[in-house]
Amino acid sequence: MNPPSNPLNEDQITRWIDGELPPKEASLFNQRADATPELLLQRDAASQLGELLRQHLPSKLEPPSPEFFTSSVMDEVTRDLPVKSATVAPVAKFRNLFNFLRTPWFAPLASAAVVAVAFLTWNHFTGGGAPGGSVAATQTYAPDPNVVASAYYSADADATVIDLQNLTPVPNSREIRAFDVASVEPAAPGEPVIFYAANDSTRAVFVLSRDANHTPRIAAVN
Amino acid sequence: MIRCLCLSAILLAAGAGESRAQEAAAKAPAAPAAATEAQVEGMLFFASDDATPPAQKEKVTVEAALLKDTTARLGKAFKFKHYHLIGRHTQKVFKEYESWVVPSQDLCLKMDSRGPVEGGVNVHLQLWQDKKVLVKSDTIIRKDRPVFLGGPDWRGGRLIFVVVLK
Repeated sequence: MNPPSNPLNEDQITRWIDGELPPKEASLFNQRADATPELLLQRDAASQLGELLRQHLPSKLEPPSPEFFTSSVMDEVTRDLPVKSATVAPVAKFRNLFNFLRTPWFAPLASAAVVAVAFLTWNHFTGGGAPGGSVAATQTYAPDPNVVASAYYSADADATVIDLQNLTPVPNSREIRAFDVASVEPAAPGEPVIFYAANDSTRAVFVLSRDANHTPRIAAVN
Repeated sequence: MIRCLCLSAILLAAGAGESRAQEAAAKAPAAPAAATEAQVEGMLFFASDDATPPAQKEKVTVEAALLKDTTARLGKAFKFKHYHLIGRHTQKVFKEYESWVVPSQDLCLKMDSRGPVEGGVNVHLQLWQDKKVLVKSDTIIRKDRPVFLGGPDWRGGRLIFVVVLK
């Protein structure tokens, strides 16, 4: 602990403002602060700021799916990007335009712009075909880098299609065990979820449990 | 020798876990009813150019109108001649809990509600095959607009998971 005559330490000031100093140290610091109006002002300002933040920010924020967070932020950034037109005198404007066309990077930039416009037009077309715009909100992510997942709105089928390519085929020798299953309620924490046949509420068909890594495991009940 | 004993212990523990699950399965469900956002019909189809449906131990059926409508839509989104319904699971979508749509042991869907939207529900989907997530998706399921998830190939055709809002 520093004696009161020592120069003030930034860390100590922060801990004092946050009320994290041990009682003895806090008492000494309070004595010193009484003689230093700047410290008291700093503490009051921090307190007011904290109060304002508590009033205007929710106490708990639920983050979106981490996989889509970056893409969602980028979507918002590009959508809200302000477009501002510059006003230039007519003659100077044409001169500037021709100079601009002669620049060496104009050709690749123009090509990229054409591709971007074509993509946006196509995207708008496929999304526009879906009343309610659900497809614009559909985002997909395949954890396996070899799998290609694409989501689109099929106007013909009036359905959202999530198409997965390059998946490992199910072996032909495997029997797909499928049933007509009834709705179930959530299980108690740590308990398996038991699925019953739709036509017989006493006949269990599947059990969903979790392994040590919390990975779900579905087993058929014989 | 010690290694053999350890292995035996692990196998016994795994067997005990399995039997506990079987015992639990034998009991009647006692969980209280949870608040629901919606109800979905999850259907597993085998899309194939072969008109013969795959052999199954249990015949699965659904309302004729829904089956006709769904297979007609599938025919417009995928290029197969026949769509055989092989599994079905009607499931509530819970507000606070995850919901599992499990028409089959081989392909199932985890759903997390993100709240209602006009005419539908905003959901986070995860399509699972065994212990692997094939795809994760944030989407909206609306009435009369199903979601088709084109899954893995099987026996010259393809498994397709369909989710319809009821």
